[in-house]
Amino acid sequence: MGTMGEFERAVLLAISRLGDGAYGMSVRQELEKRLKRSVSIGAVYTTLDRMEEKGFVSSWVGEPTAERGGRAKKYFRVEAPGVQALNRSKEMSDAVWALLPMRTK
Amino acid sequence: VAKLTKRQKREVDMRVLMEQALAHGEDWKYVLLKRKFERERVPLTHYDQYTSEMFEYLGEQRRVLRNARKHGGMSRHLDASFSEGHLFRVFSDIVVMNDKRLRHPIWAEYLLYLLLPRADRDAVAGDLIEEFRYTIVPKFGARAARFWFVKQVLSSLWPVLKQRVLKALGILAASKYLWRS
Repeated sequence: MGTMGEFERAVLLAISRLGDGAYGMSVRQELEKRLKRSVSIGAVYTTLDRMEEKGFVSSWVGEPTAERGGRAKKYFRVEAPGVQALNRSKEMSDAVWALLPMRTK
Repeated sequence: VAKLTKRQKREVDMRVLMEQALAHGEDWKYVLLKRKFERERVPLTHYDQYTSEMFEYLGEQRRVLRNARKHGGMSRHLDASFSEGHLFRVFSDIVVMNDKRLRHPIWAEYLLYLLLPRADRDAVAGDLIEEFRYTIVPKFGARAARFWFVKQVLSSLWPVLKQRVLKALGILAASKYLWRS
């Protein structure tokens, strides 16, 4: 089972949120909006390629359009191992947070 | 409210049509409308005439291509050499020739082609060009948009190079280990 880092988790969540419209630029814009920092398109694609190798996401190429100068979009979708990895990551994070004593006034 | 003259009304209508064409990504229609719009003010040059003819020709080619693909009467070889993506690229190039503001720095795109994996080249370049033309240029102007494009390319190269270096180091370490054992 593959593990994932913080940025990978953010990318997976962005793809899940965008649904069918998840391609490089929309994922990048979603990440910038949520993480409140600039994200380069290269970093997004490098992460997506790595996650595709792990089987977390799958991709397919769309139709070429004139607005992109005849270049096709590459769409992404979260696969079952990706969903499992997300759940596992959340459980681990929750478990670590549960160790901290709650502050009460 | 000031009343518009007949000519002004026509200008407004044309502008609305041009904006609609741009919003739908129909660059070729936009250019034709723009030419028509400008034709009323300045005489048509030889180059304008040529551009319009090119667009009509390419539009016809696109219809032929679609029909051939629909009815399956197109060989695989022809399909590969004469794809719709290629036609769109030609349309797009003509639009950019007409509007200097929409030209992105080509050397920056070349850097992407040199360093990115083959599977991602078109997608990354397309994403950047789309945002450059339709978000950054209208918002910040051509010069700032070109700076944005270069910044995006340069900041995109580091993660790609880092991944390649790490992979190479991994292979080197593995081969060293195997050699010793």
